[in-house]
Amino acid sequence: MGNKQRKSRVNVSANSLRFDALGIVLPCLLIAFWYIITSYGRIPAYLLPPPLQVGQVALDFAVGTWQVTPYAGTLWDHALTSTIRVLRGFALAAVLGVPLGLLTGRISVVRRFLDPTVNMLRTVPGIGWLPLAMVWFGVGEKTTLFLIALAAFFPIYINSAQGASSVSPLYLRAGQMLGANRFSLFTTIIMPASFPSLAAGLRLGLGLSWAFVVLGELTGVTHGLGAVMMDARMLGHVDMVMVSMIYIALLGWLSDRILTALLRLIQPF
Amino acid sequence: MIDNQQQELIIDHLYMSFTRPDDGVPLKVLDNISFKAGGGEFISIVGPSGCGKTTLLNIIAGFEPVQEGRVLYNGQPVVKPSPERAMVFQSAVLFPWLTVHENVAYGLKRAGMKTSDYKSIVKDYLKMVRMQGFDDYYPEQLSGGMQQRVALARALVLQPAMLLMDEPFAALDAQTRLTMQELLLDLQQELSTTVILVTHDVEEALYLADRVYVMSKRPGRFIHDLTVPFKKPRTFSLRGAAAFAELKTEILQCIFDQVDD
Repeated sequence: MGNKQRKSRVNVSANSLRFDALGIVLPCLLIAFWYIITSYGRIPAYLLPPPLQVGQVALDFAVGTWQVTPYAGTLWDHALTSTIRVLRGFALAAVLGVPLGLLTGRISVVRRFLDPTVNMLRTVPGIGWLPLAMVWFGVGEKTTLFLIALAAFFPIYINSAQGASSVSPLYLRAGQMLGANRFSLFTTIIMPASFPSLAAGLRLGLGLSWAFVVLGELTGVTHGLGAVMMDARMLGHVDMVMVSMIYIALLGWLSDRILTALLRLIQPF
Repeated sequence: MIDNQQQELIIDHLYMSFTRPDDGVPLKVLDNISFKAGGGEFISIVGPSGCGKTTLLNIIAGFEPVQEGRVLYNGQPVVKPSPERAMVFQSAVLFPWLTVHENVAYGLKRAGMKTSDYKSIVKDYLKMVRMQGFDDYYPEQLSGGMQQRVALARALVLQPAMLLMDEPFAALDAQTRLTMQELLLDLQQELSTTVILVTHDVEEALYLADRVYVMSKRPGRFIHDLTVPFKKPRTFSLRGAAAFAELKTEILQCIFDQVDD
């Protein structure tokens, strides 16, 4: 294969990576404000620990040098546990959501069969499933997976269906005219043409997976960043709660970058 | 020579009407169309916009069902699209997720050809439409004229017996259109594919075709047909010839008479 030209997309991502000084002003001000209100005793540390303390706890959580909290050095263990849960739940949602969504978008019988039910279930907020999930699956692993898969399924399903149903009929005609049968029309026209929409659904789904792994882990598992958060709250380590939030945000951001890169690998266009 | 005279496509008393979606009133689009095509002949169909000429082409391609009348291809009723009757659309309709090379290879792949076999064929056809070296470009990186060349290669690579063209150059700028017309004329001479070209550009119709059908406004029927007397290969200077201008006026008159009443 030759070098494929990827002009436009590379430009777009280059733009989003370019450093813009204006964007850094507000975070600096917020941190300064945070520093001021915490360092002059206006707000006690048990409510809002000062930024330097949070920074040290965050670093300690990763490397374990100072042992300032009981969680020192355990970041990788918890992060790995949460990541695996996210990946499993997300994979389940994608495996169900993508094919069902594509079929819904293309086949009227499937759409009429599935769509009303999905849209009805979709109106129940994801958090609202928590008590029922705990009754069905007990506290912990299975409940977490169920919540993630359920929450991530809807955007994946809906975007896949949307993408498949809005494939230009001209592409389909061109494909038929060039000798594509029903099956190859699906794999070589409908799937790649729906890909941008499908990819957007997957990214939304992955984002929700991180939100719901925290929800699942708040309910009495011992490992995972959500569990650390809940545990730290009960032990009064507000700094650890904040640090967990920061690492979840970082992991969510990182996983989105990786997913985007993978998707671009599948379809460079 | 007898083989050359064989008529591949027979349109016999074809009628077509659509139901207007807003009020359900049937709208007659095609009114008793009959003609034959084949043997490497170049046929142009001209008519005012909205006269049903695109619908006619869509029926021949197999994109739209035959309602009344017969459309036979090699003696068989046309029921679905086939690579034997390849279409070039008004916009190129290249697949934007495939490179130029992959777009042209698409039909060959569907026919079960292996990569090693089609690679050089694709290159030959890209060269034929003067697009050599653009193999790895994506359609969005090409101009409209270049995209249409690739669309032409994508259709011709399947060696269709019949090439259906739906105002293929209408969206191009004037210079590009002229270049594309020359290219099409050359290619058609070289490959002796039967071509049915639908256009509203009278000069284009006349310059390229062996036979021209003039369509009325909707519901479309043939109100005039003429055999173009100029020998092929034709050259650009023909456009300035008096006899060419006369025929052009004859066709334009036909269309204007229609529009007036």
